[in-house]
Amino acid sequence: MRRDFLMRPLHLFFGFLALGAGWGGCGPVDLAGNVQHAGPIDGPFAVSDYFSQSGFMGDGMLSGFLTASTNEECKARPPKAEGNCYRFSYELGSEKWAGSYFQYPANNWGSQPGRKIEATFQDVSFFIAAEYSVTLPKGQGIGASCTALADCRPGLDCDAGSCQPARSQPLGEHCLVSGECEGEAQCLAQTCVPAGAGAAGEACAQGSDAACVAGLHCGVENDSYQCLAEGAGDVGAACSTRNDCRAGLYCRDDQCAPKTILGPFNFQVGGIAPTKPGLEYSDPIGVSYFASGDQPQPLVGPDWQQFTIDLGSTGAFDSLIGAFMWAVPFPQIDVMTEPSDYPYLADRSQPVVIYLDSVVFR
Amino acid sequence: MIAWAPRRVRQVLGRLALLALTWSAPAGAKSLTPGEVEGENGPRLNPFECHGRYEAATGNRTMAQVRVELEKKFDQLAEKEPASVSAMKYCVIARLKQRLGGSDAGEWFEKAIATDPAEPGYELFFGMYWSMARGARAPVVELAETHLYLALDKLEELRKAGLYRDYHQTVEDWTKKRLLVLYQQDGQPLLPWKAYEQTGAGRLAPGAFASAQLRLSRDTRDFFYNSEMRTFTGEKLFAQSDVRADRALTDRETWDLARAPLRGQLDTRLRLRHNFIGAVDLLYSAHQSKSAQIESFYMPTSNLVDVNVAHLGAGYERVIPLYPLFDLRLAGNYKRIERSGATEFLPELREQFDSFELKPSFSRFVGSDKITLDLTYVNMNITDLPGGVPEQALREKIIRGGKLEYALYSPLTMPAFPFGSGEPYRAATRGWAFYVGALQDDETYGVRRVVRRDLYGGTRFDSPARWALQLQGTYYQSRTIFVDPNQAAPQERTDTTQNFASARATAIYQYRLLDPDRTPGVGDSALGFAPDMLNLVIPVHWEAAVEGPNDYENVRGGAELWFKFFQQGIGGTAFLLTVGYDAQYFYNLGKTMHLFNAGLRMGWGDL
Repeated sequence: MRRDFLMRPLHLFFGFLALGAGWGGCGPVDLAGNVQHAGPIDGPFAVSDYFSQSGFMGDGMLSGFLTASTNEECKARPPKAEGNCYRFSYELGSEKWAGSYFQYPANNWGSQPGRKIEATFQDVSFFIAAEYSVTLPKGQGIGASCTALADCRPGLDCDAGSCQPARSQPLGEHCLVSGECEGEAQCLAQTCVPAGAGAAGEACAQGSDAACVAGLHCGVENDSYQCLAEGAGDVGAACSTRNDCRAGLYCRDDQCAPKTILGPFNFQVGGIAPTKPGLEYSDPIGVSYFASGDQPQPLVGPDWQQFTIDLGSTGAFDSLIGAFMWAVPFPQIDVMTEPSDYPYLADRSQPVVIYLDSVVFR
Repeated sequence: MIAWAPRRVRQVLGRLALLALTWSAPAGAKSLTPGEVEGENGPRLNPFECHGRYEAATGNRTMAQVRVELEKKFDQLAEKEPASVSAMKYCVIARLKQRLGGSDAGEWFEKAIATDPAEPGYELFFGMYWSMARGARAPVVELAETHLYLALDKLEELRKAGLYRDYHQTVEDWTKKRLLVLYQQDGQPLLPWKAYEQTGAGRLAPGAFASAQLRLSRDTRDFFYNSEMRTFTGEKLFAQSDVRADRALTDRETWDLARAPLRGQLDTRLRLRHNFIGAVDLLYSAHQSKSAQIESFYMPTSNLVDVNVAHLGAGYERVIPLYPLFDLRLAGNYKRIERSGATEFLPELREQFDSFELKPSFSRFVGSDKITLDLTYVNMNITDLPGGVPEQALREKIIRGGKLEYALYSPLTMPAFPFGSGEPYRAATRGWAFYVGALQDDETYGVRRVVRRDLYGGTRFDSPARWALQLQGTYYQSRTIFVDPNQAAPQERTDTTQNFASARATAIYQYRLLDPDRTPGVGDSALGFAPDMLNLVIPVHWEAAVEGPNDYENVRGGAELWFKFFQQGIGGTAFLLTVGYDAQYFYNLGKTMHLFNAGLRMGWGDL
């Protein structure tokens, strides 16, 4: 009886204690279990597998100008896409340029070593595309009825009671569709430029209408860009593919819209260095697409373009903090002067959207 | 078939079988037989005779003496005496066994009821046993209501038979009050059967209750009572770290981090209750904290964003008596949470994730005392950071906690200064609890994890008079651990720049301006409002750094009023109104903050 009196509370106490201890064992998994790839990178990889989009520069330094999203609202991914797709929505600020860092670990400004690497790479490639909105000029579009020239938008004639392309804009002048340009010309980013030599069925690089002869545009056939007869859709007409639209236009959100061109951009691998004294780590390499010798600044439009940075001459490197990219949102603007020469009809109240995809080391 | 099983296992299985029978075929009050009506079972006795004899046997006695009194009660059982007299004696034994923590008290209550089945008072006392003595953090509602409704049934039978005496009015009054209190946390009854004034029909009828709790505060502390010192210091250390501002925060920034956002939270619940099932809840909650969350730790005080949280969920709660082992409270819920403002750099990000919560409690009498173990497990599968590197984007929060409490209910010898005699006196307290507990919150950010631990111990003394005093010491700790994926076999390491620990001393004095225990029946009401409880609470805290920065050391004190009342006109709904004010002084910053909180609860959960 006495023994029972003593033992019962002790049994109970230790029983409850054991229960509590067992309960405490239901914790989170070991942190090492969260590591996707332990040890140095030892082969080709997508940047987004190891490096976080974790820093902004230029106008992005201030809240509200540059918004990044990953794998959300991307364009249709390029063929054989790898890693993440990034979408940057950029409203022009006082700096007139903005950029983003990709770092390991996130927000590493030189306080920690980069990701260790035990491999050599030939190059790093990436896809990029950009688009901005255009404000339509006053006046009726192609095919609309008219009684006088003033009824039609600039670049169109009132011909037999309907607005039609005038083929009257000289090279260098504004346009929306190629039919507005005079002679053998195409409308590239709202400017008449000399037409290319691409005949029907021939390839046209990066979806550029300027590669094709007048009257054709760079359409898509069998999943490749080819010079094709232009479509009939004017600005704002419904479309399902770019083939439905006239030369100078492309299909954006199911409507024919003027093709646009991004301003100068730079993509650099490495080059992250301590931003202030006391930080001890920096990238051993810094290879930039923008500054690659005589490479001309490419025209980045709404269609994916793939660029490659040669790493063959950098030699081996054993770690990498990251990479960064910056861009000027509009062509022709001068980041150092005000006012700038903004593109014809560019709607600066709407953000410029820049897409980056499949940044891959091989 | 189960003869091979150990005795206690057989007892538990037997108890479970009994419980199953209670679920499947609870006995109702049968119509009174002529013998019962005419008193063939002996003279009709006031059941409060049982109460009086119990009081006489326990007043100013030690538990050992009460045990002796119990032995005497066994000796007083005579073989040949009227059934009503035997029933009353069984009831006294049952009450004494209840007082002594005897696991077979219920059997004696059953014996009393079986011997004098017409008497509703014994059903009331048995119902009080399940609602006031047994249970784990909550009463054994299903068994308590079974006997309380049976009491109402029997009262009705007595009324029909013309045997309803004056004292039965007291039985009825107490019974209805116990039912009011039994459902007070449930909220507003939506169906009539379990609403005030109850009838015996409520026992097997379903109950539906709507509960709403509105809380407002302007406080440095969140509604989960986290340590504000640890929160502010953690924010400062992280902002100063080399992955953020990488500099010492200015005095002004440090000063500004101590903030008291305006917070509001509405918790609503639809509770479905049935005697066979327990309580099933549908939950909805909305929370907003204005300018509470740091948008970017690069500039920690430049922009604070609102945090909005809403959840929809379902829960379950039931207390299951498993004596002779223990009483077990099963409580848990699932919630689907939508949250915005909680992710750094992404104030507009709307996270949607699942949360699971388990809160079992185990409780058992040890003699007249009671030992209780409360466990908590919360798993919040927080949305991974969108688009981040997989190993850095993972988010998860797991909270584990346990609290072991030993509550003394033995009468204590007290100094008698309030009575002027200077002589010590022995009095039954309302309980003197000693407890220890631990809580660990693991919040994972990819390959980093912030580990927050609370270790605490304290005591709460509920005096036999109107006051209560709680003293608690808490040790708070925060660590950040990480692994380096560059290592072929990553080992967990501690980021010592983020280490922090503090200690808090808490004293809470409570005075019952209006004591619910002094009104065992249903209180008087005005316009349907019956005040039940009014407490003045005076909390005082002091928190100091043990490791790491001491910027946010503080003292805090204030006063709160807790007012509970029943609205008898709308089914006996319980309301709890709380208001409080605190002043908090961060003496190393020279900053004083004036804080307030208010709450109106119609039904509630764990407070």
